[in-house]
Amino acid sequence: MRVKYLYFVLAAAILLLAVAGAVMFTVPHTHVDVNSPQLRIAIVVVTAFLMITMARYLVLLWLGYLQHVEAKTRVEPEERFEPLVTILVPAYNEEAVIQGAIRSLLELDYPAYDVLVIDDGSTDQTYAKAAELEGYYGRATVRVVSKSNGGKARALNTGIGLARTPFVLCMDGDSKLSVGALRYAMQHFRDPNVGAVAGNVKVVNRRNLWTRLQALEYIEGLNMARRAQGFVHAVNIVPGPIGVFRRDALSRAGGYDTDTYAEDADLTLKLLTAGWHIVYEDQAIAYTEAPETLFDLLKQRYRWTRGIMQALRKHSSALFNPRTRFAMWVSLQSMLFEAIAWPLMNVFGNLFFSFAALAAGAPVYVLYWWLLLTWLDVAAALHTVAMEEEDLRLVPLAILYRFFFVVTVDVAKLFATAEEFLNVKMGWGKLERAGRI
Amino acid sequence: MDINMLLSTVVLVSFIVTIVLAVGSYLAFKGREARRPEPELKRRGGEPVFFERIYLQPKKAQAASSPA
Repeated sequence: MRVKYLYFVLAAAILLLAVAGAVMFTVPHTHVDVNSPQLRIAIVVVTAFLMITMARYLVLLWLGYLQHVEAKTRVEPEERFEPLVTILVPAYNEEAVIQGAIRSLLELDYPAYDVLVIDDGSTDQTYAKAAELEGYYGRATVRVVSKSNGGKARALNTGIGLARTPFVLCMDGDSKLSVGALRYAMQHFRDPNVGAVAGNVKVVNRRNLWTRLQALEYIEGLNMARRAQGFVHAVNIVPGPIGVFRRDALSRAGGYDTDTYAEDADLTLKLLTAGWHIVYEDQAIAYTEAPETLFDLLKQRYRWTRGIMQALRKHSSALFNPRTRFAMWVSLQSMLFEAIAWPLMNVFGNLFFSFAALAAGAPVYVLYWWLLLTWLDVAAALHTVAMEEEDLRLVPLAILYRFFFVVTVDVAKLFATAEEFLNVKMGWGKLERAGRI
Repeated sequence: MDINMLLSTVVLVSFIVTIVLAVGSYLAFKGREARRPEPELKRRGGEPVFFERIYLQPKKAQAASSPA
């Protein structure tokens, strides 16, 4: 049943891509007045934009599909690879969710592991609530430590220092892991070159339009890119809600640095620089609460964008030198493209083309343009939703995703990028949690 | 009105309105962040973050029990 479902959706995705391609090559031959210089320039710019867009989607979808096939056909040795692991749970003012997070960790399908909660100087009852669950639970041990407030990176460094196991799993205090997350992720460490495994992050609170759109974004945007990067063992951001690391690799990299607001991206780049392979495991799932309001979403994206810009700036020497480490260079280029070029193209490309088409008296081009981009998003949504065997009802949201969500997020990204270049002061921006996990 | 023209107008107007709303939302977000009170730690004059006190709780022996 699942295979038929997959074939159907993949066929639909290919069909949609074909239609998108047909529209793309039809547009320049449509009978409108192309004497206008604005329209001619617009056609050139837009054709270039569409080429880049198609190439981006095709590369990501193709590499992602290869990773998917590789993962599904991989034959695991009979003997499991199950060394001791410490799960690090940094928590700052997470009283609403911390007990649920710890309880879910005690149900993991793994023979022996420690859970270490690091209370980062919370001003609420986080420490007390976590300490209630401290103790031995057969396969798992729960420990809770408290330190003065210093941010997530410092909290994780404290945990890495206290861990006595060869592997650590870093997660967020407001996340929940799937039962098999640890077991699936650990199998990659049979390869001694693998320094970290990035897990699959899913939105758990699909309660309103914003969170459902983010659920689609995580599948179609973030995971699609991560899956593609995983095929070449060069994932460029091991996500905060779930990342498993070889402790030795972390120690040699100096742990998390505190000079960026994207400590996960920064650490990943340090590991890539050191030559470690970083892979993706889609069965290692972390469920996370997505921002439920527009303001919280903007706050999160503002921090992500500025953090990524800071990490890029920090590793800029490798950005323009492909000979240092090719995987690292590709990762940096990809981050730069997604952080700056892609939002710029989305917002200004749309604006430029719309006004050029209007000025030339050919608004029908705008319709073709929008149709093409929407087809592409629907095709990508079908493809990625099918690969993750996710909820098909998310696919129609791709229309709203293209129309409203991407534009709103990209505008915020552009402002955040500009503020980063201007060195505008910023804070961490702690999100309010509803405690839905 | 031609259907293509109608749809094009809908797309164009929606797009421009979305951009305007996105910019407005961002400015509103920045305004709200600017009005937010400073964290208590900062107001106290900034406790040095490099001084990290770690409190290790004594372990309670609980034989293979599961949490309530």
